[in-house]
Amino acid sequence: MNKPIVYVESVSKSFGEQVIFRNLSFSIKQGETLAVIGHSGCGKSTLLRVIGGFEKADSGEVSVNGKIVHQPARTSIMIFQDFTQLFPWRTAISNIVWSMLAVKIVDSKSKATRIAEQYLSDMEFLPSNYNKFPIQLSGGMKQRVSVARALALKPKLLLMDEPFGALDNLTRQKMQIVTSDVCKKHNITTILVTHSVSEAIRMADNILVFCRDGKIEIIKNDKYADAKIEKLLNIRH
Amino acid sequence: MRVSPKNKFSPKTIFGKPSTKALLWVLLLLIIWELAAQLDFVPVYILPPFSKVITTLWYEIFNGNLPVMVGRSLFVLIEALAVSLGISIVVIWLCRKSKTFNSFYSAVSAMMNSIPSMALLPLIIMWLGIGDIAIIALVTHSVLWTFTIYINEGINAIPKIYREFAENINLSTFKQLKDVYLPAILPNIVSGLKIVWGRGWRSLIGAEIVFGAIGAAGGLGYFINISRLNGNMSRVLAGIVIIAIIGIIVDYGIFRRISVRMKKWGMKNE
Ligand SMILES: Nc1ncnc2c1ncn2[C@@H]1O[C@H](COP(=O)(O)OP(=O)(O)OP(=O)(O)O)[C@@H](O)[C@H]1O
Ligand SMILES: [Mg+2]
Repeated sequence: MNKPIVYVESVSKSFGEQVIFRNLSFSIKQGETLAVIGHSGCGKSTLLRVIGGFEKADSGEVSVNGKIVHQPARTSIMIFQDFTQLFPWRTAISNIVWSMLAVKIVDSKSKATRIAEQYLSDMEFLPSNYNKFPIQLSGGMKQRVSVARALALKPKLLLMDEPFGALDNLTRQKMQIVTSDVCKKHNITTILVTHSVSEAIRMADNILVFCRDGKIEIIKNDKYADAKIEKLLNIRH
Repeated sequence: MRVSPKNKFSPKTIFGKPSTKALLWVLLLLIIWELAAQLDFVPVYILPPFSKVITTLWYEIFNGNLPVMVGRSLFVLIEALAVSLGISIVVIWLCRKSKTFNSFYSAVSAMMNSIPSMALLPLIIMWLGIGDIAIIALVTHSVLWTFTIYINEGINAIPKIYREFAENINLSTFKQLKDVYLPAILPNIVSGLKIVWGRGWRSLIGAEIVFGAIGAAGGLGYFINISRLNGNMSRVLAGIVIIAIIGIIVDYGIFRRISVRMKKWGMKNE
């Protein structure tokens, strides 16, 4: 049985008066996927940013791979909820190749290029677009390059903020499968923010739900999960 | 598929319609100038015909006179730009390090930026004499403040997400500067340089004329001034024409090329 690699221990975060979460605790086992689901504006991105070290928690502690998180680190790579995370002065493939060389995960440019091409083609990214600049790509294409870049960096923990949001169903499913496969193969732990219940169910081992009433619940992805999520998302007082 | 009529011309805009039009207007002016002089509407010692100016220009280029003067001016200008760049880097680094220095420098640069370099000329002559150092100081003054303001604005406008990704992959400070910050502010560097180069060039020529009048020798401004003293109007005009030509070469040859490349990235450069 795998041991937990991510510990979130009584973490609280507010923006001024607005409480996003309070005393939140959970852990994720190595290689597992936690989906995070909830209504727009409930705090999914904030949770991800706290775990990634991009945002300071008001109290509590996050640790990843045995280290307490104080600032962003290479062990947890984030795919931001933003189409502009690629450098506009680099082409699609050069964004990936440059990152791989920058973190010294490979030693030669040709090797990095080969790996990058592999990931891009897995994501159904056409070779004719490899050398296009981000401005020339669609939102979904940019997101796929971002996912390929993150996977190529081989993190321990992959933080994904609605990475497949801009994709049609077919591409989306293909991407889910590719991402899952790569993560399984390299034992990458994943936190996936999504607003799609079906995506959460397809990809996750456990699902963290920001409930309508402000509570946060973590449920196992079993055959009742679907109904439970729907209920938790719609509780009103 | 491609129906947009705009697209059809866009890669060639530089040599396409708009500048063809500009060229025609310039041509018209030159013809009027030539005719006015040839038909004796104005005396030759006030306005020699354009053809005479061109002949003089040609002559001065091939006897090596003008190239030496232009070379000297450009060299001093590049020296001054290099000095400004060096100071800018230090100043901007200090601004990022210390809030106190930043507010101090903002106040100083806003104040200094509004003083034309010619207004500082007497002061600089008294402090530094009339040598190259004085000219470099003068041109640096006309360049530095605006330039640092541009760069600072550029740094402030770098999207947070670039910085965050750089932090995420634990990029070293040097690599962050080289591979993220520098390309991200390139549009600002270019538009800053574009403005600053014009300003520097102007104050340089101005300073050379003044310095030439009080004994220093060399540079395009000096060339123009000495020609005036000799009453050689076509040499004066040849000097002015060469200033315009250099301006156009730098603008089209350097800055527009870089702008085109940055457009390809979708990065703004006004
Ligand atoms: N830097 C900030 N300062 C103040 N408030 C913030 C900040 N970032 C987020 N918030 C607020 O925190 C709440 C949660 O934001 P967050 O981005 O985490 O939502 P989300 O669940 O990711 O929403 P979405 O599904 O729309 O992406 C929002 O109400 C937002 O206004
Ligand atoms: Mg979000």
